Amino acid sequence: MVIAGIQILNTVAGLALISLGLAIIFGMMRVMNFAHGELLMLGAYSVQLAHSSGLNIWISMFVVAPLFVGLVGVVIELLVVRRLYGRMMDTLLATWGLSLFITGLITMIFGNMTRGISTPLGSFEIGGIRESSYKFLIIGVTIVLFAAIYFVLRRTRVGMIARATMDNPSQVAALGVNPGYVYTATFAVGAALSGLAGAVLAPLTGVLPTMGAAYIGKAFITVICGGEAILAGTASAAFLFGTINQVTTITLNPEFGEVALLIGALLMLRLLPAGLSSSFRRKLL
Amino acid sequence: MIGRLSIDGQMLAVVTLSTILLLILPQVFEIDTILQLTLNFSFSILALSLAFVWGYAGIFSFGQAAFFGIGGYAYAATAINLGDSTPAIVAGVLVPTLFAALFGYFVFYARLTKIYVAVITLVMTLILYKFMGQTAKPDYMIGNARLGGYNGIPAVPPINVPGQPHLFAGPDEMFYIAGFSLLAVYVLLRWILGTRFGKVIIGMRENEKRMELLGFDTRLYKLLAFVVAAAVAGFGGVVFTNWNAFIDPHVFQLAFSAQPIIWVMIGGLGTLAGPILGTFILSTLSLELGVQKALDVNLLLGAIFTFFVLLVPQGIIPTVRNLLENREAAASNKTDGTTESRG
Amino acid sequence: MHFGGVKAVESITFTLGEGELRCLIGPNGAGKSTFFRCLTKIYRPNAGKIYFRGRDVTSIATHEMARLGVGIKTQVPSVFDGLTVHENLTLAASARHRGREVGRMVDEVVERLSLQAVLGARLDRLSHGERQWIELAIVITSKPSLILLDEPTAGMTHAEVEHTATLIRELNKSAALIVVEHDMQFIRSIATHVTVFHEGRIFLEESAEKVLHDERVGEIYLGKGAFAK
Repeated sequence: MVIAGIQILNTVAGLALISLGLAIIFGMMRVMNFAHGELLMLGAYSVQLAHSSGLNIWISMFVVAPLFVGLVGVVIELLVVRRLYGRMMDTLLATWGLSLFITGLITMIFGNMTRGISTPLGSFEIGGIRESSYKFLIIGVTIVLFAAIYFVLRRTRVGMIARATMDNPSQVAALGVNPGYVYTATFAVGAALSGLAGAVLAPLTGVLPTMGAAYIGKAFITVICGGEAILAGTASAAFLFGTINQVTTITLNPEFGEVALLIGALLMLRLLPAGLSSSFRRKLL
Repeated sequence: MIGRLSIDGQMLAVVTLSTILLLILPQVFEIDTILQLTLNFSFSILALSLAFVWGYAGIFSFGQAAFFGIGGYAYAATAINLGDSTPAIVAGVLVPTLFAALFGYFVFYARLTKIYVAVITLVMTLILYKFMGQTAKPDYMIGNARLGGYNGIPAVPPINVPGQPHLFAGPDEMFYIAGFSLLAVYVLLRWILGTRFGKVIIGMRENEKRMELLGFDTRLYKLLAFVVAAAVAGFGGVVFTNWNAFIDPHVFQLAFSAQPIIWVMIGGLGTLAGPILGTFILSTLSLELGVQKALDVNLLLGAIFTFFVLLVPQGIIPTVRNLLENREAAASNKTDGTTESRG
Repeated sequence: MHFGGVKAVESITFTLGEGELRCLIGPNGAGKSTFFRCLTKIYRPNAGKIYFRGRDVTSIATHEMARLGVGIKTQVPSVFDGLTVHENLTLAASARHRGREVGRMVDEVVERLSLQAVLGARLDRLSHGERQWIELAIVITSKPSLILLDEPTAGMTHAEVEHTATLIRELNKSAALIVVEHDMQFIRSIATHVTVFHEGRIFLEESAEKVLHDERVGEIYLGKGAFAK
């Protein structure tokens, strides 16, 4: 029973983790980044390569991966996204092309074989059932990240400028802040978080060039069903869908778990087309 | 009035030309090319389904490949069970249509915005992939047809003369069937676009709000357009499965779902001829590029696609058309006021 | 009607007679736009009811409103840019009519508003003022009995405003109108009755002459300038 609870929390956290970067980019910039899965993939490759070259796993995971993918994010924003502001469909298509490009590039460089990272932290036992302690890490990292982003956006000057720029870029410019920098920085942060997520999940999923495809659908559904509130919305959607997914997986099988997630999303959107956020009273972040 | 006539004239020319081409080509080309063309015909039908629902109705659907696949599976299962392809073809069109009707109801009556529709149709496709992939166990059967999981359904009976299963189509016949099917779909869609329904969905694409303010129930029209497109895609799936004699879940994969989008965008969104052209060019390109080992196929396709989105967003056919029109306008010094005929 | 914690509009009782022309005025934030949007079904009021010809229309959808014979023109021209004037009008007529009727209705509007010259022009090639007029034409093609106009003269030149006034007077011959406006000159040339909004409520509802000479209305608009004329 406890094990089931931990598994559910783990699924929820995983979902929230992979969606956070996308939630920030979509929520603040209204950009549909279809290369999101590839950002996760690049994070996974970063940690795998760094670690297999001898670097400490934790540094690889929490420093190398986000830094590298954050940089990639900067490049993407400057070269592609910047040119297509306001054109949501075109951004979606262009980032889609990028996703193909990046997948192809990584395939060319690293080949098609799945690479692995041994899961650190060992395992524990409750009531005779073994479970990986790593799952606690995932849950913990997710909570910390969400709290950190909340803090930055709500309580720091940087966060305030970011939010202000999203509302009214020309006004912010009049105050001496370059909106362009804010956009690039926001995209980079979103990318870095995605890289981090991919890295953290890598030991559990394995690393291969096409792994992005598995993430993108779920991440998008979570963000969109979450609605306007970047953090509260994503978190609640993750809770809802993660639970549905895991419970169905436990009772039936993983594929049905995925099916249940989709049906849940469809029904939810029928009831609350503006996402879960629309049912919140106060304006939550 | 005049517009009507010239479109019919164009249509007649297109049909005549295509018929001649289709009849001649098997005599001219080798069997490999014929097979390749047949495949491209089935893909072109898929592309047309997206061209219709996206280019004309303004609904960006990631799900066309899914309906293509569902149609293929429905055909395979029915053909294997009943031994005659005629009801199988009907099933191949009907099943995706019904599925789209149900799915579309949930999506469009919730008044989901374009982005949400895109994502939801994407997820639908992914789920189908997951689901069909795990049907490997023998208990997953439709009648006598094992679904076969990731391995798919092999040995699918080809199209036969209605009621006479022993008279089935060989490669040449398949070529004609596929080719004329494509032509028929093209003519059908052209005709639909000329009706009141067609004009309404174009209006919806142009300005949905205004359509509502005029009294059109846009939810219903979107659903209908979506369903029509699903039927077309399903039909494409039938043709494809015939060509392949085989159907597997890869049609539900992300990589394949992206293909029609690329074909349509590069060929020209908002036209019917463009996507067909785009399909042929890119399909052939993929093949050629897939053979060489220097650069990865995805890398090249991704680069080409991103390039097009950034620099040639209208696609090939509209861009060419604009160039020709500008040249014509400059040459005869016409002023505004002439009605543009839409492709 | 409130958004979050802010009451935009409260306790409004508003009645429009058959064939009447009414202008809604009031400074920004007074609630007239919110009220208007409740009428055009962009918003649904938190409380209260709306009746059209005795029928409760509070909860119906936008397109159903249109089908009841209400024509709506939004502030930003909402037309089919990529289509010609003729195509725009044809679409407008097709909403509630079929076949020959469509052609006839389009011809009628063209005749009534003298649009022969621009029939083949694409909407995105016309000037702002022309697009506003074409939108008016689109709205009246299906012969609504009530027309809702949101700032029809926004962005127009003086000459264009005058022409719009003539158009509206013409429209009033066959339909009731509710017009949200800022331009006092314009209102003076078309209105018989004016409703003044202030702080979410109806402040005054009188004949145009009385309203436009009322000092208190001037104060509400403090600094509007246009009033000085």
